[in-house]
Amino acid sequence: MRRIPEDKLIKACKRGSPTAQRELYHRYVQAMYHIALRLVGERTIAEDVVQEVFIRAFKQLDHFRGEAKFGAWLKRITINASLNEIRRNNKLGFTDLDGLESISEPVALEPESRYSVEEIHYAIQQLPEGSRVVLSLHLLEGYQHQEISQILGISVSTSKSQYHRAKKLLRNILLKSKNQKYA
Amino acid sequence: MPDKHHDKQDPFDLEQFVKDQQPVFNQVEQLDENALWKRIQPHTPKSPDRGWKIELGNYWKWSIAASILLLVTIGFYFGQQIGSAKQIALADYLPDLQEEAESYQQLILQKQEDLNFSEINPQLYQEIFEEFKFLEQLYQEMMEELPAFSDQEKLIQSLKKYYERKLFLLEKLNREIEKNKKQQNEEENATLM
Repeated sequence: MRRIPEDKLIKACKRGSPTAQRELYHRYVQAMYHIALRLVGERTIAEDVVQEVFIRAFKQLDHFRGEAKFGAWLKRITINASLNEIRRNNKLGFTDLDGLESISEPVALEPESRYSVEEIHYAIQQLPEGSRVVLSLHLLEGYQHQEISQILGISVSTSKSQYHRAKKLLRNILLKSKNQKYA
Repeated sequence: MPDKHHDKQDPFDLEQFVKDQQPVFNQVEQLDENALWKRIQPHTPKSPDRGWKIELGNYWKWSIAASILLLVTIGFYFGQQIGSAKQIALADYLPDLQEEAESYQQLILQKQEDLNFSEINPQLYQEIFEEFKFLEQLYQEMMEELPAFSDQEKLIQSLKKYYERKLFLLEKLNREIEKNKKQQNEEENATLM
């Protein structure tokens, strides 16, 4: 069955239609939940963030003029809400990555080595807060380092170095996990 | 976009993999959507007058036709078209509207009979049937909000728009069917030549 066009759905939501609100929620909740989860790192907190995001989005829907895609608009609200949640708990720091310099380079994997989406997803959650946020924003959400620097209030070079360190750490986590699996 | 300075020695290209599998990364965890919606729904805004509107657009023809038909009273039970329980509720709240609604419904039924509506394959006219479905959902919402509705005049106007929109869609469906028939005939004639 063909889906209701999104612009019609949004108009109905603006009129306060519960059916349209539910449908719009259904279309985006999974994506927003995973974005929030990758940033905040805990399921219950991610659910709280998503709850706040949709309530805010429906209340502010009149401000959505359609210049950007609705999904991009909602994603930005989700990222902001997630970062606010992290900041509220004073957990967003970047000094915790300093020690990662001493972490050895990942051993080159065999050409046939592959990881699943699930393995990478759970490995990301094991990253320290700051590196997880930078890696998620850049690798998963497609933000440029310039944008990340503005969002997080850090320099572009810090964003880049955090990202490279996060990738090294992620690979080590993945490799360790794989070695344990086949040990 | 992901950084290009990834380690080329590593046979596993993380960035390319993420790029290729992007949608899957948003489906890993199980989320109880219904439970979360129950937490959200009470806080979602309702329309200020709890009203319900359908934008009519250029449906003047059916508006006029429907207005003329309002003058005709037909002994037709309120509620044969869409959910009798809901319609009875409507009659309870807005008895004055019953006669008008009956007229609209008679016209809708007539149109549906002319089109042999129940035999039409919705897959062939997906867009129109999707709109029918959406229209019915909105109608059900309006019925659910009925007890809280204070502005009867707005409700009557909304209901009229609902019926007019439905008539418009039936007419649109009729045009599409006729167009398809004509196209089929032309194709058949071309084959025979």
